[in-house]
Amino acid sequence: MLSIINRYDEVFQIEMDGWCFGITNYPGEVSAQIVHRIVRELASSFQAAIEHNVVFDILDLANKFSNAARCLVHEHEIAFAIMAQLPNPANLHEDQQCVLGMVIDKVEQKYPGALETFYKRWQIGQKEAA
Amino acid sequence: MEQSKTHNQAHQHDAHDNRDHARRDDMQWTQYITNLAANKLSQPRSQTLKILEQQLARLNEELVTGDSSRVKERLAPSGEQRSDGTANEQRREGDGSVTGAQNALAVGVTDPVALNTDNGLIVGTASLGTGSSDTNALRFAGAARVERVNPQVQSLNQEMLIGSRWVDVLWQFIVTNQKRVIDLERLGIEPSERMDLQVDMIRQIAATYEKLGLLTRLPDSLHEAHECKKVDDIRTMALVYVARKMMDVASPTEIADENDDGSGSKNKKQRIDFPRSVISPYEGIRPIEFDPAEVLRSAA
Repeated sequence: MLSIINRYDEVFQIEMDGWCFGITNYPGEVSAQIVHRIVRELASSFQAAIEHNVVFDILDLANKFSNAARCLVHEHEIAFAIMAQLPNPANLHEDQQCVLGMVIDKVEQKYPGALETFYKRWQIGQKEAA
Repeated sequence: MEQSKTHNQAHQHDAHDNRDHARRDDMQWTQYITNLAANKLSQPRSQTLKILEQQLARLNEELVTGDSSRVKERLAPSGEQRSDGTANEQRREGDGSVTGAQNALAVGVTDPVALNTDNGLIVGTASLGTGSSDTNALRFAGAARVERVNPQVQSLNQEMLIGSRWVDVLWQFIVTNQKRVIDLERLGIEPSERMDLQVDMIRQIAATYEKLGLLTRLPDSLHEAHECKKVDDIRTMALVYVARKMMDVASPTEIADENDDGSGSKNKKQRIDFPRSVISPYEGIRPIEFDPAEVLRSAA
């Protein structure tokens, strides 16, 4: 098991909880678009978490966001949206790839085919980048 | 002088005709979009959106370039094209409720809220059937009352409402389908991208109406700036949350000072290392009256 760098898991947890708090207590209307935009904004946080060897639970996170948004967006959709924001494994070190694999594995266990879908996406992205 | 006057009158007359044509074109165009949405609903959703987008792009182009004759030819249902704007108005008002119901069906809105009698009332009074939210219904109801009171405002309001109505109808169509169909098989496109595609489509429609001068406002949710501001506000709240968490953690000297104030051990604070794990993070925190500007000012 890889050790977490700089206790980043707690930082990550607080950040995610902060966003959930923001969504829950925001006095205005929270639309599905807003939730997706927030997930997109969190791309760098996901990347940082993986770089610090944090194996976060996407399903749990998706569930939290979905509940915070009053179930406006299904947790399944949020989970896949989060997965879409994960970094390309080709750009990661071996340890980080291992962490990413563990992160995705949890989703794959619940939603078979998720890994394959995103593997294809990353391959396409890599080809486009080349 | 007289020539100039005659010329001006002719010009005004032409402009009036153009407005009438534009209005008739718009009505036929919106009717066409409704039919299109209704016909395509049986097809897979992504295909529907694609076709709808293509059709809209073409129509948009033709309408903007002013080639209304081609639009009219294509949009007019066989044997139903009216040469008279008045006839169109009568048909629209006479068939208001039926059209509204068709609209609601066309956009795939089958829930009771969308088909409630309030909307039916709006259909009857202002010939509008949005199949949309209660807020919209209220807005339209207000406008409908204005129409009854002031006939001069009637045509202007109708134009505005037609424009906003169709944006709302299509928006509702998209939102409804977005909720109903979670197309997991096609998640090669991420959900946020799909939403962007749909928003772009709506923007395109809205832009067409704006160019036609029929739409005076966009729904708030379509304004990117508005959306960004919301996200900024939520981010600020997230920062407030983090700040509160940090305030919960007193510094070692503060803890020592407060514990030595002679109040006994009951109220003693315990030292908590930061960052610490958060088990139930936001359940225990009561909602706050939130003004992002004020928070930012105080932070500065």
